[in-house]
Order: sequence, then structure tokens, then C-alpha cells
Amino acid sequence: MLEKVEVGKKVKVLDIEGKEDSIKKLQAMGIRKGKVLEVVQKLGRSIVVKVDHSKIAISKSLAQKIKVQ
Amino acid sequence: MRINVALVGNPNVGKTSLLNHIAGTTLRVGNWAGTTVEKKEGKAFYKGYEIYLVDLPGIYSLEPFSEAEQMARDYLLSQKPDVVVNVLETPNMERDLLLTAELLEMELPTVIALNMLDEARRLGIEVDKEKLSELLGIKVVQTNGRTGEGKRELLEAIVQTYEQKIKPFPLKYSQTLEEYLSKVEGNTKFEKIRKAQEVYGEDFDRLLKDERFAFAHGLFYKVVKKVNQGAFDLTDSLDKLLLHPVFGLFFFLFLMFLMFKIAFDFSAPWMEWLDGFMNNFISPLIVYLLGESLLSRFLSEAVVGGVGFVLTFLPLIASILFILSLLEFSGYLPRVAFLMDGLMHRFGLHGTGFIPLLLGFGCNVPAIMASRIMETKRDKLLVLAMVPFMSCPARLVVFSFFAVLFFPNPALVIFLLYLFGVLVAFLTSFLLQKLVYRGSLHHMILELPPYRLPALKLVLRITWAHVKHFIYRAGTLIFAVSVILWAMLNLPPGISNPKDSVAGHVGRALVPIFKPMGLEDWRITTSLIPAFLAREIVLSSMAVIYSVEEGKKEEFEPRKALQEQGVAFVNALKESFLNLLNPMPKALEVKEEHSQLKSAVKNSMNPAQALAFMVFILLYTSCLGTVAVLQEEGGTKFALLFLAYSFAVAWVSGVIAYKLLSIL
Ligand SMILES: Nc1nc2c(ncn2[C@@H]2O[C@H](COP(=O)(O)OP(=O)(O)OP(=O)(O)O)[C@@H](O)[C@H]2O)c(=O)[nH]1
Ligand SMILES: [Mg+2]
Repeated sequence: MLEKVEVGKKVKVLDIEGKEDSIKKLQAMGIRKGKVLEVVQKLGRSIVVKVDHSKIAISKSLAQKIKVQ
Repeated sequence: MRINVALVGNPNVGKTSLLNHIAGTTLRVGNWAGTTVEKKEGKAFYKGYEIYLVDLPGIYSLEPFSEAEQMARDYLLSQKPDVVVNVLETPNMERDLLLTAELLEMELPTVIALNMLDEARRLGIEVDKEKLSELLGIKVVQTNGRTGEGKRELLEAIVQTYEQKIKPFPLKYSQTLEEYLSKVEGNTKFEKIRKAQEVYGEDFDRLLKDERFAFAHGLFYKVVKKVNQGAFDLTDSLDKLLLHPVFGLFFFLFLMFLMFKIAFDFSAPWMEWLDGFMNNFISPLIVYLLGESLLSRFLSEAVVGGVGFVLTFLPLIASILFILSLLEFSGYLPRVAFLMDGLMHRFGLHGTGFIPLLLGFGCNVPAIMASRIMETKRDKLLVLAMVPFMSCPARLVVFSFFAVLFFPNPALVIFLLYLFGVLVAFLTSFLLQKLVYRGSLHHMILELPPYRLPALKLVLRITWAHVKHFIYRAGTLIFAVSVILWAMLNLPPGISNPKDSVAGHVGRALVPIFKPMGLEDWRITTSLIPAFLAREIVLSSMAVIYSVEEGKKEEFEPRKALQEQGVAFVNALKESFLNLLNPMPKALEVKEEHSQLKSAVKNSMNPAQALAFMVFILLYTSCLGTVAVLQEEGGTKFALLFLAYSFAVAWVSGVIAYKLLSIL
């Protein structure tokens, strides 16, 4: 799970669970199966990841649904 | 001939910047996703055509996740623009091409604008635009929304696409998907897909999504070349510090302090100069030229006293807006939202809500509009109920007048007032969640764009647009109020004491309401009535009332006076820049000598009353513009209830402030 990844580590997205709008939005923003994510920072309830050239802050509750390797 | 053009693209890719360059407009631009919330327009003339451009809110996809996508989708379907300009952020092309795929499905005449050319170059990203154009069958141009580079080419592409009706090649997805589509009716691919979604449901949906991603991915690899791996990325280095859980927070607090310090210190000498210019030059000049008459009294009391007085605060307002615009342009705003997420959670909101709140310090009106970035209706309404308690420059104007007059440490008093506003905002949100909006919190998804150096010209233009608005308001609303008030102070004819005038009667009738706050003086209560329209009117009104009360006579010699003003101007210029170099806040120092208005106000109030008055002005939503957008965004019932609520909170807090300070 993305939520558990340490700051500075790069991981590959294996799967994203759920069909709700937030998940669809994440995918449209570039967080998809097969993409490499870098965890930039974690603070409280949210986490910043970098995918390609964009950075996105997401709630950890959402990050829980992203399976990574 | 008119060509209707729609600008469509992901958030924060530079659509509005391009429009501003092409049409010469000054629409809001900011380095965060969600700056444009309503469709805006501008037009340009090119080759005999009137090119009419509509700027739509940024969207990641045409699937309706929220209001923004819905609006863009509806617009494209119902208005059928002649040409769609799909703006892409070149460094993020792979992501952006997903929306492109969805747009191509609509089979409308389309032009692709590859924006942020400069950043792509810096990152070593090269796009083969000829190849992209060949593959899709449409025109592709490269642009720079900061400098306007490529805008001619874009206009040219729009005209050619229109004249030659250049539509994209029909998209080809995989065989499986195309088979699904061949079994349904529809004029365009888009229509077929919609049908197929209804008929085949989820399986089709999943396949479609994968195919679109595959299309974007494939296209990206065909046309993009990365020539320079591992280019130094300033954003990454800055983020190590600015997103840091501890350092980041300190930096934010320091930045806020710096912002207000600079705004105050830079503007203080100018405000003082303007004040002197109005009182020691313009006013006596009028009397000098026109002699003592009703007309000269009207001009110097209602016009210079009222309108002119409010205008003296322009430097402060301009400075704050300038600095906030810098902040908005830098890309720092969403980072603060991330840092504040934890705090915001305690009050049932997530970090995104911090963006409208912070913008509220600049002006509540655009901040209320920015509440649309909240993902759900519940979150949006909560933010709507908080923003009006964020103290804007119009309130600051009132505070800076009273705090300096009545308190030994005005900066502290103003700081505490701001803090109190924030506190009330959070309590309001807390209360609303307990009573009305019980629903649970949505996830946060917030893009953090790269840091971008603000384009000074643009920041100045946007600040100027705000300033112009303020001057316009002074010239219309505040002028009208001052004139009416002045007339009411002089009616019925022949009264010797303004206390017996119409205004005096109205003011005295209101005294019982404000008496618990210690405000018993009719001049104060009278000035509060018109202040419902805009807060700074409270000052213009007081100025009119007090200047009617005491006429002034001084020796006046125009040439000498003009000379003095010139010298004072140079001093103000010098002092404002020197102040910036001084590490300690310099403005708001308590001065011994006071202008006539100041001493008159000082004699008619004590500190406890002044504090109650400021608290009331802080909390009561007395601003026509704010109420209007609240109604637009939250509905009439919401706006009216909120107005009543803010009055109640303002009154109770005012009374408590008065009682507390009276005891101490
Ligand atoms: N370096 C660079 N910055 C640009 C360029 N075009 C726009 N910007 C900056 O990108 C940011 C976003 O620009 P906007 O015009 O507000 O973007 P938008 O697409 O209208 O954004 P939304 O309204 O939020 O969807 C601003 O800070 C611009 O100054 C460009 O070509 N190069
Ligand atoms: Mg915009």
C-alpha cells in the first residue's frame, strides 16, 4: 500500500481499488497501473507523491487504495 | 464573421494566460488548479474575423466528477463551438493527452496548443509537433502563456481550422472496442460511446478507460523525446524545505508575518502623504478658490472628506493585494494547503479548504468563488460560511485607523483581531458540522504545480485591476453614500447642530441596539448604517459627519502648499523603500499629533468602545459584494441566514469585548 511507503522511495503502482469518483480522478491525473510514484513527503493525514512531472497531495485514506510494489 | 472558440484543457495549464494574451483581458490567473471557476470570455480580431474565445474551468477528464467537468461538457455539447483549442502543459503531456482523446471523440474541429514551451525546454522535453499533427490530422502549435509567444500561430491555426473545417481523424481503438461501438447508433464516436456505456455498462467502461490511457501513452511515446535526463529541478529542492513538517510550518508563519510587515511599512508613508494632501491641500484649496459657500462646504466635507478619505487607504490595499498575488502566482498556495491539512482535519475539513481561506485575506469575493475547488457540496458550504470571517483589506483600513488611535500597541491589536476572525470561522464550521452538515469528509486530491516565478507585469496588472475597482467604488457607491449622508446631516434646512438633523435622528434611533457595546454616540451609529454596503464606508461616513460638525480655518497659500506637498511626496517615496529594509515592523507607530478627524473620534470614544466597534466591523458581513456571491454560490436562503448569523455573532462578540475591556 502506498500509504506505508517511506519518504523518498520510488514504487510502481500494481493496482488501484474502487470505482468511486476520487479514484477515477486520480487515474485521470496520471496515477495509474504501471506508473512509478515517488513519495515526496508525508504529514499527518496526507501524502505527496510525484508522478512524471506532476506532484499530487492525496489523503492517506485514498492512498490506502493504491497497491504498490 | 465570428468564430466561436472554446479553450479546454487540464487545470493550471495556462488557458487563461493564453486568453489574456490573445484578447488583452485581465482575467484571473494563478499557479494552482482551479483558478478559473466560471466560463469567461474575450475576443480578438484576426484576418477580418472576430474570434470569440471562451475560457472554461480546467478539467482532467470530460467524465463529470464535479461542477467543472459538467460545465465544460455541457458547453461543448450544447454550444458546439466552431473550433476547440485543447491546451496542454507540455511537460505533463502524457497525462493531458487523456483529455485530448476524449475531445477527439467529439469530432469537433480542434487545434492543439502545446503550452509551457519554456518549461518543456528547460526539462529537456522535445515534442515533434509535425508528427503529432500528422497523426491526429489537426493543427498543432507551441505556445508560451507567460510571454505570449506563439499567439499569432495559434490565431492562424484557429482561422485555418475554421476555414478548412479541419476535423481530427476518427480515433481508432482496439478491435474489441470498435466492435462494441459498431453495434450502436450515433453520429460521432462520442455519441456511440455514450450509447455503448448505457448498453454494455461496466465492462465496456473499463475497457474504454484502458484504451484511452493506451492511446495517450502510445501517442506520447511517438511524439515526445526526452533529450536531457535528470535536469536540475528547482521545485524538488524547494519542496524538501517548504513541505517539511516542521520547517515548512515555520516558513509559512514567517511568510505571513513578512507579508503584513511589508504591506504596512511600504504603504504607511504613502497613506500619510495622501492624508496630508487631501486635508492640507485639496480641502483648503477648494475653500480658497470658491470661498466659504454651501458648494465649497459640500465639496470639502462630502467629496474630499468622504471619498477622498477612503482613497487615502489605497496604498495599503494595493500592497496587500500585490503580495497576495505574488503568493498565488508562485505555486506556494497548494503547498500551504498540504501543510495545514492536519489542522483543518480537526475542524472537519481537509487542507484544500485553506486555499479559499487564505485568499480571503485579499478579498472575500474571489475567495468565495474559489470554494468551488472543494469536492463536495458539504465541504463547499462549510468553506462558504468561513471565508467572510477572514479579514480583508477593507477591514484592515478600519482597524488601522482605530487601533493606532486608541491602543499603545496597534500591531498586536490588529493581529489579535485577524486571529479572532479565523477563530470564529473555525468555530462556525465546527458548529455547522454538529448541527447541519453531519456528513463525513471526502478525500483530498490536490495538485502541487511547479514553483513559477511570478510575471511582474501580470501581477501589477491584476493589482491594478483591483485598485481600479476600489477607486470605482469610491467614485460611485461611496460618493453617493457620502452625498446622501451629507444631505441628511444638513436637513432640515437651518439647523445649527447636526445632532438635530435627519441623520442625527436616525442614528439616535439605532443607539439602543448598539448601546450594550458601549456605542451610544449617534455619530458612530449613524456611520454604521451605510457601512452595510462596504466596510470602508464607515470611515468615509465618520469623516463626513465629523467634518460637518467642525469647520476648520487655516491660512492657505496655494503655491507654498503645493511645494510642501511635493517635498512630502519625495519623503514618502524615500521612506517607503527605507522601511522595507528595516527588519522590525515600523508602521503603526503611535503618533502624538492627530488630524482633526482623529482627535474628534478620539474624544468621542474610549478604547473599550473602539474595540467593540472593530470586533463588530470584523465579524458582521457588511459587504454588498460578499453577500451577492454568497447568494450565487450557496443560495438565497444560505446568504440571508448567514447574514443574520454574522450579525448575531458580531453583536455578541462586540458586547463581550466591550464588557471585558471595561473591567480591565
Ligand atoms: N513557465 C510558464 N508558465 C506559464 C505558461 N503559461 C501559463 N503559465 C503559468 O501557469 C500558471 C497557470 O496559468 P493559468 O492561465 O491560470 O492556467 P489555467 O489553465 O487557466 O488554470 P485553471 O483556470 O486553474 O484551470 C500561471 O502561474 C501562469 O503564469 C507558460 O507557457 N510557461
Ligand atoms: Mg484559468
